[in-house]
Amino acid sequence: MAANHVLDVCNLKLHFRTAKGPVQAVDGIDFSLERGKTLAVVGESGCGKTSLTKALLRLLPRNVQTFSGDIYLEGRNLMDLSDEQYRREIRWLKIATVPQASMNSLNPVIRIEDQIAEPLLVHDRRLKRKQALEQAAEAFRVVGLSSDFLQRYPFELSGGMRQRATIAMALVAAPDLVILDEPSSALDLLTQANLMNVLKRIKQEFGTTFILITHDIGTASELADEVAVMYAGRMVEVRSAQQFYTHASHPYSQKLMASVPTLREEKELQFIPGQPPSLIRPPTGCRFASRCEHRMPCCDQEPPTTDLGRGQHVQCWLLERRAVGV
Amino acid sequence: MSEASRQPVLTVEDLHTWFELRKWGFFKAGEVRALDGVSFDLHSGETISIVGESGCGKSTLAKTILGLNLPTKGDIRFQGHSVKSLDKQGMKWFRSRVGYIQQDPYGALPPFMNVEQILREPLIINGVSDRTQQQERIRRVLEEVKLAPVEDMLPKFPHMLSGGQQQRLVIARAMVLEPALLVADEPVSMLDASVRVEILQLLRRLQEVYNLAIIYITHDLSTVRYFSERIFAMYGAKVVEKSSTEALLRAPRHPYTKALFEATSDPDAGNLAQFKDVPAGEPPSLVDPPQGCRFHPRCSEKIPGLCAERIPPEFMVNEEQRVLCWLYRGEEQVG
Repeated sequence: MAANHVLDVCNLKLHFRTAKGPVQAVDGIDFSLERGKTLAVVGESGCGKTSLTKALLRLLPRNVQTFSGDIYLEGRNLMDLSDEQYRREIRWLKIATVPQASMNSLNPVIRIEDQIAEPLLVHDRRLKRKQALEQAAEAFRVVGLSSDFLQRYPFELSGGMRQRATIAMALVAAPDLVILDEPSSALDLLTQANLMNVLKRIKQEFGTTFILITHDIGTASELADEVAVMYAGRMVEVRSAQQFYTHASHPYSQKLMASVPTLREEKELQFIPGQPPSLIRPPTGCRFASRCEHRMPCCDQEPPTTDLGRGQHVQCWLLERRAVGV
Repeated sequence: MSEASRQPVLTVEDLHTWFELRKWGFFKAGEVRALDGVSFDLHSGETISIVGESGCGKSTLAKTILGLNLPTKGDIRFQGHSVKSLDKQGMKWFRSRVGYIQQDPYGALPPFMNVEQILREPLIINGVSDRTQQQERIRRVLEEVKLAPVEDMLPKFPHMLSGGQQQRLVIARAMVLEPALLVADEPVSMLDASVRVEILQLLRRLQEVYNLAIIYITHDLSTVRYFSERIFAMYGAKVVEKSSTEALLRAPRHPYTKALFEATSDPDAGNLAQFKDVPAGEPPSLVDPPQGCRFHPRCSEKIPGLCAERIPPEFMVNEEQRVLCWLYRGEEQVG
């Protein structure tokens, strides 16, 4: 474990209990994240992106069957903490989140400033309300909102402003890690671009570490230093953004990139035939095998993880074979 | 080309759709000008993409063309007939000739009907009563949208289909009466990237086979390249730029179109280092739109004393591009 890592995740599993059997929403995920970097987690709906954030934040629904693995935050294993300890010491102070469609998650009857200051007051009883409000105002300034809006109610703000307010709320306690779950997908194009500018500025000025969960690969490139591709509960590829956008290695990543329409260059678009497998009884071996062009007999067995250096890895038999020289 | 085939399928002339606002239920309190003077021709085999942000009037345009909203002013002519003057029988004919593809496929399909019933309904309504003929047309349209094997699909209910299959069923329903015009309102925005391309390619192929005219409404500028001949950019209930796709992608002209272009990210690791030059602010209120050009409060290129006061007319920048913008006031004025 390198010293500059904020987060190290090892073999994380989160299975849900259903009437038909366990849903393996997150099934053995490994990755690590350096301080000040952004990891974009991309994948299609139902691949386990949001379950991953739930596992990291320990916001678990009642039907959890398996929750195992290790999550090291600055070298401390979060899995050793009790739920109460986690709530007191980690959630929002160390790991904060901007949930999906969070602009609609503000309480409509509480003033914005009180909502932003709330996490500070809850976690530190000794803090005076006035100080907390000052910090809230500072967070407001960071996300580029005028302090005139602090005293307003959520309905008085536009969608883009509310989204910035929820980001201010996540930043107010200066957490080590902020998880952004589809922060801009419900917003209009220009508002979305403005929001990405704000996040980029925060990242550069304060060196905040982000995990960006998104299905929009184009927008992900605005913020990502590293890209992780999820497919059917697994992280099939983790690459630096430089490498990923031009030389993705996993056949699924390649297909996914080929399906993204581009505005500035003409390319032949492709789609991926078939559907992702059910997570209740996923096929053994590689989960992408049934849709893959490069399928080989060995794909029926679990693909090994090929290490490509500097935290990059790919789960595919093709790379393993190339490495061994078969 | 003969005279008849050059006639546009659809002509929209100075279309206005205003929704009245009421206070206490009966006092008139102004109106929402959701569509404020839109005109264009659409020929068979052609696609027009309409891009813009939410609330700019693109869905109102689709719904007014479909006859779901009544135009306040202006006219829609479909295959030479004015839609306004059609009687009940005429409207029925019109609706059978125009297909509608909704944004949310699951919301657009009745959950209590199976695939067969969903596709039979339009046939029954439009007088195809012969059972074998119904079967044959249902079968053919399912094969066309690649919902195969047909036998397995017929008894399925919408919730048993994946998102992509649901959207293909919506397309099948729109195509079963063999329309001349398809109105597709964000047909792929709810779908995953890999399925999106499949649906767009399907629509493109159907267009080629049936020489369909398509109005494709989207907020995503990057999909239009693969799909349309012309692009209209809408802002504040007006079409601010009409351009051929090629010309627009080469050089967008209106400051708003430029901003849309700038805001769209292509997957590229280089984006990380650059800030986007996009205007701040919000789209205008359509109840009380700003004077002059509706984009002027957000525009970085506005001309003092002109843009804020006078509504820009349509200027012809070149053969392929027309814009509502005072920046091009040296060019030829249209209309």
